[in-house]
Amino acid sequence: MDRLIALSLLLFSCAVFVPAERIDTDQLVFHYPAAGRVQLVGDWNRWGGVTGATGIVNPSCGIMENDNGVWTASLPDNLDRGRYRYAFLVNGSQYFPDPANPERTIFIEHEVSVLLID
Amino acid sequence: MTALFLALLLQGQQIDSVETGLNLGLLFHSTASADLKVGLKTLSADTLTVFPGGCYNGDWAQLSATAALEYSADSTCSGLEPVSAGAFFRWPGSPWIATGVSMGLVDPFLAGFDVPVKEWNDYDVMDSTVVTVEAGGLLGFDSFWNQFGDSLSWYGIKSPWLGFGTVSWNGIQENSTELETFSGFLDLRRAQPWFLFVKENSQWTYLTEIRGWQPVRNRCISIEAVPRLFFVEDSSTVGLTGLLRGENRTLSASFTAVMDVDNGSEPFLSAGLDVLSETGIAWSLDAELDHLKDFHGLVSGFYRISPAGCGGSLEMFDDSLRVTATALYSPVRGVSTELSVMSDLSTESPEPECLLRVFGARDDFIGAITVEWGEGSTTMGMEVSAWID
Repeated sequence: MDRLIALSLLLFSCAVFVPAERIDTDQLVFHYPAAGRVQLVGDWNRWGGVTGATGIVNPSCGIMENDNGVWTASLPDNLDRGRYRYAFLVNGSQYFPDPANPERTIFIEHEVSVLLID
Repeated sequence: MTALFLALLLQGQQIDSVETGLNLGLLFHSTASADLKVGLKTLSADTLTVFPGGCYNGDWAQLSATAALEYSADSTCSGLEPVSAGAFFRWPGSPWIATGVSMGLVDPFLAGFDVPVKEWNDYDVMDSTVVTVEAGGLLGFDSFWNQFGDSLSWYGIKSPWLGFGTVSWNGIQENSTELETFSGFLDLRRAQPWFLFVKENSQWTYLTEIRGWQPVRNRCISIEAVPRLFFVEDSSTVGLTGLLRGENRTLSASFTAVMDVDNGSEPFLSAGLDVLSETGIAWSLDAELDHLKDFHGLVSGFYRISPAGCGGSLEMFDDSLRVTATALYSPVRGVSTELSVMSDLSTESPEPECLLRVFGARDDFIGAITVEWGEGSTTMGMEVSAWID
């Protein structure tokens, strides 16, 4: 019986403490051909703020790549599991939630998206 | 954490792209405005701020400093004032043991479910000196302690990559106020229970939801059903959210119903839909009904084709009705013009408000000119931001 308990604990420990695989780097996509610039900002980069999350946004933070009006960016590969809010900042002034992600919440009166990394 | 902020502030990029070595930069930001009813001669600079900064990223040390030189509208100069600074050291060969001293780089933030337990800027700590200690490595656990002056502490232990899920414990102590959270989820493969305990001054809040349960999943769409439970003292709330995702990113929808089971009050209902049609029209619909009487609805449709687009939206708040029409044009790459006309149709004599914005971006430079007119006033605003390496 003791061996069985010890073996069970050992197996449980292996299952518990073996680190899980991190998610593959995912891409976020936003269709906005008439935009001059789209930036990916969120909790992971403190919303691009220079002097805080609600401060001046750094113009070079989270710039998305433009391919014929389809803006793409990869998620940072160092994100821990958890929840993060994010949005697409268009032309430095308008926050748009990710239209492909139905989970929404609010960040300083802007509707933004919620990302789950599990 | 501190290293992340160092990199973000001074590189303006995500931490995975931080270069090692010495980096120097300067952020320039200026705003100006004018009352066009009087004339362009009223154009004057509201703010002009220069943020010079530098950082060194080495194998065992990260050093950074950013300052601000601000000119105000009355032509007074603030002098060079520190915005942030930090010295952060890691034990050579180990990513787990670190310590550092910083100012303006660490801001307590505790993520929640829909809304954070502690939002950015909830604490006024950006001028405080912070001592940070990190230690971990044992079974994937990592711990940190941030001491802000002598009045505020933020500490925690987390293990984000456990095989069966993740756990995180955080505490914030400010004078006699104490906040603790215990959060995480269990990865049961087909379903994931997420949980969050919040204890604030002996009052407990408990939130849980089941994620990953997808009753419908095929090549086109997936529907996730998310049951939720909230307990706050003597009140308990149940909720159910349905999340629909299109596999080709052109469709998403949600529906949420939340009800307080103890008080038996009327439920909160909300629904959302986003569709990108093949013709390039982005449709969006949002509706909220609180206690079956307070209604908010938004319907919008934008035809976005390169280099032009147009669209409109209709927003309803109980008795008010607000309509917006927008036209967009991008003559060259990086330049975008937008003309919006808004009006509140619920008033007896609706007056339109107009906004014209010309925006330009190139490399690490952005600039915008905005003209707003309506209700007897016409104003112009200008904004320039540039990051210079």
